[in-house]
Amino acid sequence: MTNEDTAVENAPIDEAATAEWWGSFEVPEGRGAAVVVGPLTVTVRRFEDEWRIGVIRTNDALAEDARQWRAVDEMPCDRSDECIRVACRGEDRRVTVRPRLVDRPVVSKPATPFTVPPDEDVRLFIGSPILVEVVSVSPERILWSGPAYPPSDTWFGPPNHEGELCYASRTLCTLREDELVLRPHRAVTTVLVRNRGDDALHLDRIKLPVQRSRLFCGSNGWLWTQDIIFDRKTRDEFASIEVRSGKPSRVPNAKILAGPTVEGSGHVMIRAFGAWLAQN
Amino acid sequence: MNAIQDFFEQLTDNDEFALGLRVLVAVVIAVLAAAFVPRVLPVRRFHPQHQLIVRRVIRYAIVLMGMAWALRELGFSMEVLLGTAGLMTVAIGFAAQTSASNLISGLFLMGEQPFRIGDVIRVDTLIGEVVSIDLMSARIKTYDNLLIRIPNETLLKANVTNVTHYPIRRLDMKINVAFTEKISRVREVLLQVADNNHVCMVDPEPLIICLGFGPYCVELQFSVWATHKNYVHLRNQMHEEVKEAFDAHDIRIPYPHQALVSGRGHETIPVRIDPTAAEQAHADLATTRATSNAASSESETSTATAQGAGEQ
Repeated sequence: MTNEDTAVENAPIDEAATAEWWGSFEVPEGRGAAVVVGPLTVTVRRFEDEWRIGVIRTNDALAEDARQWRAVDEMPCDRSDECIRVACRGEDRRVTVRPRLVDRPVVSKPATPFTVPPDEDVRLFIGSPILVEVVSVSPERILWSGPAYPPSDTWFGPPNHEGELCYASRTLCTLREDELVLRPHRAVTTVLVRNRGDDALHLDRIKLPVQRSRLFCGSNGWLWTQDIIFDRKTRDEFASIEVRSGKPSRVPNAKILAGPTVEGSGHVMIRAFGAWLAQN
Repeated sequence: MNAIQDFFEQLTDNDEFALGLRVLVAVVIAVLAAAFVPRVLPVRRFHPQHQLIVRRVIRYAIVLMGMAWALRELGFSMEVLLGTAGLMTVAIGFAAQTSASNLISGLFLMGEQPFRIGDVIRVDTLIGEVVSIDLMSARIKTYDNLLIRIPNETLLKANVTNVTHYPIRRLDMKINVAFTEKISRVREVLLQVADNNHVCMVDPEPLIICLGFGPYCVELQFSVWATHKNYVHLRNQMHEEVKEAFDAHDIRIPYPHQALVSGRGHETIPVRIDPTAAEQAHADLATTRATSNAASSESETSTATAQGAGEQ
């Protein structure tokens, strides 16, 4: 994980950067097409019996650039970090690029540990990494799928079979929406933490089950997940977690982009917090 | 047609032939059933090791039942056979103690399950993936594609390390830095390397332990975590990235060296390596050896001549 969002939320919202980079288009004949999603650039070209896809990534986790498909003359794989060739008969030149949420929970670490006193509720905005999929229209087939910025692995729980493999993320635990910065390769989750225990809850990491959430986009091109509610009732790490159905509460006019990556029940009782005041 | 029919009627009227035919059919059925029944059993949801055991037990049971029925049909008394088998077991038990020990050890291993098929284990200096666990031994396939059979008795007595039992694993790297380096700065650089590596896990957190002061360096242990799938990848990447980071930050990894100390005040003896003097010393040594060899050859020749003259 490299400098991921360590200084994210201090800049004002840049309206010019609110671009919807996803969508369907037709690859021009004899040329390629490229899309930019933050640190990721994907180039696609159609040949007679194959699709050729080139992927280039930068190390800039804070990149804000997002550009929709544009025609390019560059051959995919010429200077790509990753080159994919998919055999495909037919003449359909249409592709769709779309975002998806990742397939594991995301463990977010506040840059500074955060405390929720007893009987307090707090609303946080936490960003999560996303996947980018390139899909041929006819036949509908995923040509390439990968993270816009590769998240690091992390383990949540004891280092044995009780724990779970997750992705790592870092957040400032923004409390105010106006402090958010649009990043095309991140999806924002509104997290409501309710501490009904009789001791303070110290958050040094929090596990978001984003793989069970739908993905939405707001009118300004921001990506949102469904709201997640953590309800801590007792003096332990376990919390009732609910992925709230419906649209994100902050974006009532959002449109759905993708379903859950992993199907499951929306209400579970799991270990969600990495630090709690067990010493008291 | 009537002749063929008559022939078969004569055969079936013959009691001995009918008996033989029944026995043969029974044996064939038992063999076929032992081959096919274990394959169609609904055991796919079991662990591969348990599937193997269940299939083998059923196969052996079917074969034994078939043989027992055939022997009974042939007129052998099962009570006598069992009694004989009991006596033979005692005799064989004394003669085959090792095999019996392996068999019993195998039963204990199956119950205790320190490892399963598919796990990677280390037994003394042997390391490999477990491909089968049998009643007498276990077989492991090494990374260079060798098959090693380890008796169960050995496994029960030895320290067996199950490398893949837990889902994640720690990589420990021993890193030596010069005494002139600031340990806090080295720590920052190492943590940045871990942070930049996506395969390296964020939690459990990377760990840096100062092991102490060696004869020529500060000894550090740098520990990072990864899943088993990424362990080898991480191992290669981390060493490479640490080296590159040290080069970029001018952090020295010292060569082994020693200081010669002499005198009452323990003043060091200054040593200077003079390349020309070293070359001259080499040349002198070569000349000396050549001269010595030549002298030896002349001596041998003289001796041989004297001996030849004497013989003549």
